[in-house]
This record gives sequence, structure tokens and C-alpha cells, in this order.
Amino acid sequence: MEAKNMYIPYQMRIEKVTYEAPQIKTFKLKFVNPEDEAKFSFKAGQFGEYSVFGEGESTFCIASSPTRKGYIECTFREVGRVTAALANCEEGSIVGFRGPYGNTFPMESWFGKNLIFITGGIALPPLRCVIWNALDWRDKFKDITVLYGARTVDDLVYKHELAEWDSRKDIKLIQTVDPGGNTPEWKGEVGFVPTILEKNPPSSKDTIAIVCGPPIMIKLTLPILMKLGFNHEQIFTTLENRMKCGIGKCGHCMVGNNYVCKDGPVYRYDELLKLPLEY
Amino acid sequence: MNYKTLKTDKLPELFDKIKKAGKTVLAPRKKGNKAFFSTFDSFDQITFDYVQSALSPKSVLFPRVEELLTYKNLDDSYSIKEPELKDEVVVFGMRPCDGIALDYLSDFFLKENPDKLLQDRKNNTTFISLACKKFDNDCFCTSVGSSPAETKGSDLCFTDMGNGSYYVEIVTDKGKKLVDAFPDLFADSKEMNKVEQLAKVPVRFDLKNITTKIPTVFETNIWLDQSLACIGCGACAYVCPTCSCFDIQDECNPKGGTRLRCWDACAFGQFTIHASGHNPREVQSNRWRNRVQHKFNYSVENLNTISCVGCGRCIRVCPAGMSIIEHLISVEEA
Amino acid sequence: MQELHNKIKSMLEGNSVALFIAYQKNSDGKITPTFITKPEQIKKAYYGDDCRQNLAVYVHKHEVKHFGKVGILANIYTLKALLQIYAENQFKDDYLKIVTVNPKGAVVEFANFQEVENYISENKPAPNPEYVAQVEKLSNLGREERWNYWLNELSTCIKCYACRAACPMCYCTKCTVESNQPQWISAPSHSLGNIEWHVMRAMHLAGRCIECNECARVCPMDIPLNLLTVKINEAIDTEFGQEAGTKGKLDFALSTFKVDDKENFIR
Repeated sequence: MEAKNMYIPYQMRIEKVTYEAPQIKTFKLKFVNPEDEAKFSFKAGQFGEYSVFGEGESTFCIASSPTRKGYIECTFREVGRVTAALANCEEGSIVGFRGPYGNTFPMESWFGKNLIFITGGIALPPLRCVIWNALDWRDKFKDITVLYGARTVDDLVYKHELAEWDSRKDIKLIQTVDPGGNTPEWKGEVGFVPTILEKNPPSSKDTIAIVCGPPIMIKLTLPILMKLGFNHEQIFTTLENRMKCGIGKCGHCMVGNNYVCKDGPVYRYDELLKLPLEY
Repeated sequence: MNYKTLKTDKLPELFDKIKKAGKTVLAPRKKGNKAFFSTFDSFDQITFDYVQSALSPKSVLFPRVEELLTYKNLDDSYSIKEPELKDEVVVFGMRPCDGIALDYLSDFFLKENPDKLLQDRKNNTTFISLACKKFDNDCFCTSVGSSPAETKGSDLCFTDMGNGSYYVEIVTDKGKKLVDAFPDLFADSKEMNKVEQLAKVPVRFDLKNITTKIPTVFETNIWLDQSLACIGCGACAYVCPTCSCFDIQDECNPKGGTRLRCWDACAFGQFTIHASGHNPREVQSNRWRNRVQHKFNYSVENLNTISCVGCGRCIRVCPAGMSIIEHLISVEEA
Repeated sequence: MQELHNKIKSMLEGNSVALFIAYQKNSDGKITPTFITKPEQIKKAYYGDDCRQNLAVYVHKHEVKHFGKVGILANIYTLKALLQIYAENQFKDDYLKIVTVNPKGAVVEFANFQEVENYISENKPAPNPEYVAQVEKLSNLGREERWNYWLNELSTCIKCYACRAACPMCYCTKCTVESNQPQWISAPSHSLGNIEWHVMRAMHLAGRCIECNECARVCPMDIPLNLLTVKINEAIDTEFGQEAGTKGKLDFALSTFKVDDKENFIR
């Protein structure tokens, strides 16, 4: 393979900024250079390094489905220097994008199965990509269920899409907020995600569970899935670790001998168990 | 392999001629007790009185700070420029163990997602190693599969035969190109027995025992015991010829800016910290464990080789006197 | 060494410490720190004039604090560092038991920091003649020459932060250079980033540096970093009568404000 300077980003124009929740925004990005766009493709689960020139790079998943051409989307929370600079960017300004990096959800191996997505808060974006991909390939899968929770109603991201999924017949959406996070108008569930999962137990037969969320949510969700009869090969998750280069060189994201940016971020649960707890 | 000889008193002329051909020559120069690779104005500034240089020659391929790209602010977008690396360099006086390290770094950076910056620098650099006639207590190349007779990773290997001549082994095509450029300085030679001229470095531990044992002691207390003395600086990683971790930093001014790559070390507390504040390697003992596991376990799994060449620089530089030799022996005995 | 070993033994067995930090001398003559938790480790403990590392760096370490009660063998610079750290309110009362070996070779255990303060005032370390000569040489250089000297030296810095790690007075849990909002100090080791780092560190050490010279000893590039704080320390001593590591109670000149201060910016 010919050596390349892997650190030159694509220039992307921000076509649309959507305010999702407090401190959370979605960017719809289009390639400035049409040749870049023509050559670009990715698969569900991959991420990129998004940058503000002069401030630095930050790692987010590609939140739009690979079946939708001509643009990519990312959703991020403002937590530090680069995300603060991104949050300050207006529609029409340019950001950098390097990618796609990482491995992918093996969606082809899920054909003919039920899919249940269990996620919370800002962890919906990485799965949103897979959900839309699955919906765009709808006849390849049996039942699709999304269990999504956030701290409060305000913190739910993709509110318009949640409303759309709620109204569709080919996807079952269960939304929940933490106790105390509901408003008088709230029609969804109230309770932590693992609790609501127990209330709406999925069948483990021919089902793939994709779990993505804060460590505490994953810690409490996995035993429930085990109890329901899921085995390790039926559960997928994504790992997050500090990343810089995105291509398995800088060392920041290493867990054991794995580079989360290269050997992950998608892990099947049995693969995850082989790694030391350094994530 | 081709063999040549070069009279030791012709070395200054060789350097002069290489410089006249437009290349930079780096050779060891002393500062206090330490030898550093440096440019020089006259041959007498070079030192031959060193066991090992303080910094490794890795900085010729992987500098401690380098530009990944520069950009200029335009009206509506950015103009991005890649660096062009054209400087030709000859490095003289590294040790044979450093050659193995350079090979490791090349594998690491070039096998998958090959790094153009390192490739360009490598294409433009000729490495001449000078085989070791002496060693110190911190050298342990023979314990990790190498020795002062090693030629792998060097382009040319010089051995001072003690008779006014260097025995020159031409290891690579690049080395041959340099030798062929100065036919009046290098004389043809048969293969010589250089081993008698070289330092005899004693073996300190059984590497096979260690690489077998190390994955099994991941969860034990030996890491805490070994790392109590560690004060958490990055000196061991920075002087190490195989350590390759780096950071990416943007710097800018009103007209544009640059994205830089600079050395980083897993020993630093913030190396693994998440934006949320969660730190997977919160305590120094976990970071120390990661360093040793990476060199003797993970790189074996990933690249089929340990990533330690026994140069001893980490031991010499450690402010707390920690010794990887002792730590590996304690793993063996655990 | 026997008296020292007996002292450590009585402290461990009497449970006044769970960990004792001392020096050991290895077979190749190298002096390294040793962390004694069991009686059979005591025989390794060593003390001599060649014990240069400032062990006070370890008292901030999370894994060391975890032992609860810690004993430490201190040379004069370690004592100065510990006293200064104590004056900066960094110690819980029953955390540390400090032991030294006085110039006559007798083992001394300090009951409290007042005793440490008294000991230091009676045992001021003699100035190192080489160090004095370096300072004098630099002082005699013109301003331009001195700046160029430091530009040259600091350009070789590799930002390994060994100086910071080895310094007992650098104990901030988040160092200024680790801040990126804003990035006060450039992280990469280009010349500007190096100067920013060392100048900033010298300013943060002004009047606090106990001049143990560890920074210079540990620097992989042999930069004489110990010279960076000499004049600032002198200035603080001259202007405010404060010398680092001499008092257990401190109204530090650079962080104490009095109504009659001549600067009026805070009025």
C-alpha cells in the first residue's frame, strides 16, 4: 500500500446545524470537493476525526446511514476545547473530517434476525447510523426495536426522528426518561433503561442486541440480557476511548493489544471480555 | 553481503565529501557526560567515547515535533499544504541495537496505513552503525535477541578493527549507494571476524520465560511494587528507540496555522483521559504495567516481535533509577 | 547503617508507619529509592552523601498516600522540601514521620515540623562551588547574551517533564501545561513551547524552589535547569525576607495581600 499523509482532512461545509438537546448539536456536512465525495463511502459503526482548523480534532461516530449518499452527519456534545469550537461554527463554515475509521457492525450477518437497540443519552448517535441503515434495508430484518432513554425529556436527542420512528409501523420505539426527568406532557416510560428493558423483555431467539451507552447502563443491562437467554455472540457494543490519530498509531486508545480505533470501536461481547478493563 | 574497509583516518574526509554532496551528517557529540547526535563543523567535535547516545536516532525518522500539514485561511475555505521532506541525512555512530529499533519503527509505521512522513524520511536517510567495543551495566541487547554484532536495521555497519581500519559491512542497497559514491575511500574486503573486537554483553534473563510469563501476571501486585518509585515523567519513552506514541496539536495565527505531531508517553497521567474525566489508567502502576506489557506482550501479538532492543537508555535516564532489567527478572521470578 | 535499620524496624513494628521510604545502594553502586513495608526489606536501607534524589516527590503520590502512615528518610534538601510543602498546607497531621541522619551520623526522628524547622536552620547546606560558579558566569553575561544562552539550551528540551516529575514542589494534580482551554503553554517541544514551559515553571516556583538541583540532575538533555530559579529566589529573599524551605508557617509573599502593600491594583 502506498504511503500517504493520513492526516490531511477533507474540507466539509456545514450545511445544517440542528440543536438536539442542551449542549448537543448535529451537523449535516457536505464535501467541499466533489471528487472527495465521489470516492467516499463508509459502513455502519465507523467514525471520523472532525476538526476545527487551529483548535484540534475530536472523535465522533458518523451518525448518518451509509445508505444516504451526498452527506454525512455527526452529533456531539460540547465538553472541551474542540467541541466548544465546533459548537461555535455556523452553517456555511468549513470543518475538517478524516475518515472513515474503525471496524463496522457486521450487519450482513444479522440478516433474517430481530434487532434490538438499547441505548441512552448521547450514545444514540452511533446507533442512529445502524438504525437508519437497517430501516433502509428493512426487508432484510425481522423485528426492529429501539429502547432509548435519557436523563430528562430535554436530553433526548433526535426528537423529530424519535417522533417519526414512533409513528412507523415497522419499528417499535420505547422511550424512557429517568425518574424525575419527565414532564406533564410526557407519554413515554419513566425509569432507567435497564429497568424498562426488564419491563419489555425481548426474546433472545434469533435476536441481536446492540447496546451502547454510559458504562453504568451497560453494566446493568448486560446481566438482564444474559438472564433473558442472550449469549455473548448475540450482543454488540461500541467502545469509546481517548483517540487522536484514528488509525492505530498514536497509542492513546490502546486496550491491551487492541487499538479501539482500528480493531474497534465495534466489539462483540465475547471479544470485549478478552480485553483488560482499561476503557 | 558486501564487505569493505575504510581507514579510520579517512573518516573525516568521508564526512566532508558527504557534506559536499549536499547531505547533512549527524554524529555523536558530547555535552557533559552524554553523547547526542548532532551536526558538526569540524571532525574533532565528534566523540567516540560513549557506550550509547543519550537520545536514540529515532528522531531522524520520527522527530519530536513535526508538521503534519499547514493551512492558510482563504475567503471561503482553507488551502492545505503537505510538508515536502527532501533533506538527505547520514547518521553515523548509532549502535547495532538501534538498527533493530529502526526496523521495528518502520514495521510499525509502514506495514498498515503507511505513514508518508516516516517513509520519506527513511528514504532520505542512511544509517551507519558503529559496533560496540564496550558496554555498561545497563546494556542488555544479548538478553533480547540482539548483540553488538547485529547488522539488521543498519545500512552500513562499521567495526573498528583496532588496526587503523574500519571493517565495513554493506547491509542494504542504500548503504551500497553511499559506499559506491566514494570508491577512493573504501577498499574491497573479504568477510572478517569482527566478533573479537566487540563487547561481550552478558545475558541477564531468559526472554522466552518472560514473554510466556508476562500475560499471566497482568492482575498481580508486582506492577505496584515495581512502580512505586516511578514519578510519572516521559523520559523513558522519549529516549526509547522504539516508543512511537504521539499527540496531535493545532497551532494557529490570524492567517492560518499548522497541525503538529509531537511525542507523547503512556506514562503521563492524562494520556488516556476521556473528555468526561474518566481515566482508564488512573494510577501510575497501571501505566507502568501498560508500558512493560506493550513491549513484551502486545507488540508480540501485533507485530510478532518484542519492542525492546536492550539499549539501556531508559535505565540510564530514569530519575528514580528504575531498571527494566530488574523488573523483567522480577516478572520471571514471580 | 545499623542505627538506621533499628529505627525503621521500630517504626514498622510499632505501627507508627505502614511504609518507609528510604534509599538503597545497588551492587553497581547506583542509589535508588526503596519502599519498605516488610521487616525483611529493612536491610536494604542505606544512607550516605551520595543519596541525592529528593524523596519528597513521593509524598504526593496516590499509591504512597494509600498506605496511610508513611515514614521517610530525608536528606537536607528533602527536609527543606517537606517543610515548604507543610507550610503550603499539603499534609494531613499524622501522615508523615520524618527521619534524617545528622552530620555526626546519628539517626534523628522529628516529632513535629517545628523540630524540622530548627534542624534546617542549624544545618544549612553549604553552597556547591560548581553551582556558584555557574550562577556567577551567567550573572556576568549581558542581557542579550544571557537570553541567547537560554534560547540555545532550551531549544534542546524534549518536554519529557522529568524536571516537573522530580521536583517536590511541582505537585499540582493538573499542571498548567495540561490545560487546553486555553492552551496556556504549547505542548510540542519546539523552541517557543520549550521557553514557555520553563519560564512558566520558574515563575510558579518563585520563592518556593528549595534549590535541590534535582531538575538539572534528571534532565536527559543536561540543561542546567536549576539555574532558572536562582535569581528569582534571591529577589524574593531580598524583597520579602522569605527563603523556601525554612519556615513551617508561611504568609507567602506572592500570595498574601496586605492593606499597606504598595501596589494599589486591588484597592
